[in-house]
Amino acid sequence: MQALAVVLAAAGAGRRSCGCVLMSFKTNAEIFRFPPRLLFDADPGQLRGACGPSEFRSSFVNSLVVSVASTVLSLLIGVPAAYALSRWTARGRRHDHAVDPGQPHGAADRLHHPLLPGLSASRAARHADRPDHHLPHLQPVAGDLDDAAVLRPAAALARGGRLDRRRHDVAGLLSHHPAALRRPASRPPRSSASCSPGTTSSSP
Amino acid sequence: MTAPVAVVNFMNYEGWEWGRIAAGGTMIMLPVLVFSFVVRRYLVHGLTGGALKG
Repeated sequence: MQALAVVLAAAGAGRRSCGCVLMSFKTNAEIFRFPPRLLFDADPGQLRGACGPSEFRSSFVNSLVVSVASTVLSLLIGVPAAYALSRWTARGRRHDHAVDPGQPHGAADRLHHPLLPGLSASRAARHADRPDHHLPHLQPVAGDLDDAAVLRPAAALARGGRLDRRRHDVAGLLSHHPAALRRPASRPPRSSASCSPGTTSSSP
Repeated sequence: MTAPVAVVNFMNYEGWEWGRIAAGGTMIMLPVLVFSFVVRRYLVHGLTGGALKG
C-alpha cells in the first residue's frame, strides 16, 4: 500500500514532465490527435528543429554557461565566507550587533528591537547596564562561549520552552555548550551526619 | 537570453509550436537530470550529512 502511494505520488509529480518529454517526440499531427495514442511512432524532428541553428541554440549554450559560472562563483564566495563566519565573529554575525552599544538608548529600546527577540534581549539589557562597554566584534567565538552571563539566561529560557533555539544565535552558543542546557543538579538530601545518631533520614 | 526565455519564441502569431516548446523544455531539463544522476552519490551524502533532527 505504501509503495502504491509512492508510485502514485511520483506519477502525479512527474506527469507533466513525462508529457513534455513524450510530446517532444511527437509530430504535430500526433500531438493534436484525438483520442491520443499511448503508443506512437517516435519522431525526433521536433528536437532536431529546436536544436537546429536558431536562437534557441545560442540561448541554450548561454544558459549552460550562466548556470556553471554562477555555481562556481557562489562556491568561491560562499565557502570561504561560511568558514570565516564559523571561525571568527564579525560585526553583524550576532543579533545584538544590530544595536550600537554606544547609543544612549535605554534597555527598553533594546528589548523591543525587532532583531532582539528572546534571549538576545537579555544580552542587550546587560549591555545597556554598561553603556561604556563595547561589544568585542572581532574576537574568537570561544571568548563568547565562556560568557556565563549569556549562557545562564539562555539555559533558563530554553528549559522554560520560551526560546526558539532555531531562530536565535544563542542556539549556536548552546549547541556548543550542551552543559548549559542541563538542569541544575538537584541538591543532595541532607546528609545523615547532621542528624543525631540513631535516627534515620527520611527520603523526600 | 537564456533558454527558458528563448522558448517563448516558439509562440508566435502563426500559432504555438507545441512540439518545439516541449522539445525546448526537454532540452532544458536534460542537463539538470544528467548532472543530478552523475553526482547523486554526493548529493545524497550531503543531504543526509547536513540533516538535523527537528
